[in-house]
Order: sequence, then C-alpha cells, then structure tokens
Amino acid sequence: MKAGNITNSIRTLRFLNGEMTQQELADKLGVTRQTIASIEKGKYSPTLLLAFQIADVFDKSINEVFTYNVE
Amino acid sequence: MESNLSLHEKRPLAFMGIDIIVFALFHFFLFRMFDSSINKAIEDVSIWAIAILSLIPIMIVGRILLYLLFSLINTLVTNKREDKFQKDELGKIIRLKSNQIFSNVILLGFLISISTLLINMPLSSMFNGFLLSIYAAFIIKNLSEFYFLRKGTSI
Repeated sequence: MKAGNITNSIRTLRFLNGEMTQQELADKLGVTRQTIASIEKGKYSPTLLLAFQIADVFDKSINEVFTYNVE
Repeated sequence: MESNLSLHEKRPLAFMGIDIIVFALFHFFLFRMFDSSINKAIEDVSIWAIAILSLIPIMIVGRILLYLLFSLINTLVTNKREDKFQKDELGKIIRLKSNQIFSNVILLGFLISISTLLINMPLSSMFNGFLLSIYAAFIIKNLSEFYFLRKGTSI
C-alpha cells in the first residue's frame, strides 16, 4: 500500500470557533500547546483517541477534521 | 534579541549543556583522583568499575540541581512556568524515541569498546570507550529530542 499523509483543518476550525487559541484548545484536551502546534503544522499525527477528542471539541466528525491523502 | 525556540526546545539544549558540564567536571575529578592509581595499576578493573558506577549518581544529582537552576532562571526571565510537556502524548513519543537512540548508542559503544580487546589494545582503552559511549549517548539523546521537537515525529 502506498504511503499517505494526514492533513487537518484545526487552524480553520479554531478560527471559526471564536478565534480559539492553541492554548485554549490544548487546555480543553489536556495536552500542551506545543502538541497542538505540531499537529496543526502536520509535524505530528495524533493518536486516534486525541483525534476523536479534537473532533469532539469542534463538534465535528473525525473525517471533517482530519483528511487522509494517498500520495 | 527574542529567541525563536520554545521552552520545550530549550529544555534538551539546556540538558545537553548540563551534561557536558557534568561530564567535564566528572572526568577532571576522576583523573585527578585516580591518575596515580591508574598509572600504577592500569589493569585494576575495580578502579574502572568505581569510576563508571559513580557516574550514575553524579549524573542524577547533577542533572536535578542544574536543571532546577535552569527552570528557576527561565521562570524569572520569561515569567512563564514550564508545563507538563513530558507527560502528554507527543512528549512521551519523543522521550521514547530518544531513549531508544540512547540505548542504541550505549550498545554500539559497548560493542566498539569491547572490540578494542581483540586488537590487543590495553584494558584501559575499553573502559575509556565505555565512559565515552555514556557521554556520547547522553549528548545524542538530547540532540535527538531537540531534532524531534523541531522537525516533528510520528509513531
């Protein structure tokens, strides 16, 4: 199977949720701002649990937040 | 000038600085204390065992004391408290990966050190190799932590 990459729309969703800061999102999820920043930049793919929790914060399904792209 | 490194990125660099200071001091005092003994009884393995085993508590105490100092200075300068990055999932993955690299360097150092005996080098070269691999492993661990923080990582 070809390798793919995961992109996300967290930055947009934060903007649409009253310009929520990375720190505010991190506090809601119980992680650090560094982790949120890394996920947003695509430097780190979160665990499935954290991905579901992020989607839950924005009241979206997981595939509305994360997209898997096959290269 | 404002640094573009985050607090988490400064941490492994601070640890690396701390480790280098501890190693330099340890090596200085080790050879000052044991220099005459080593010259007289270079093949006395107990001296080397003491040297290598004493490095562990020295490293732990040295790291704790100097890192407390780093955290204190950092808090005073930046007015920010360090959060628990080491406990969240990205922090854990980075720690796990850098610990794996640390173990691999130690193992490689051990194999290279023990190989020196095959080419008839003195016993002291093997123990010096052990010490060197411990120093190298700590430094590479800090550098890999810094690299993973900057470049990102995945499981």
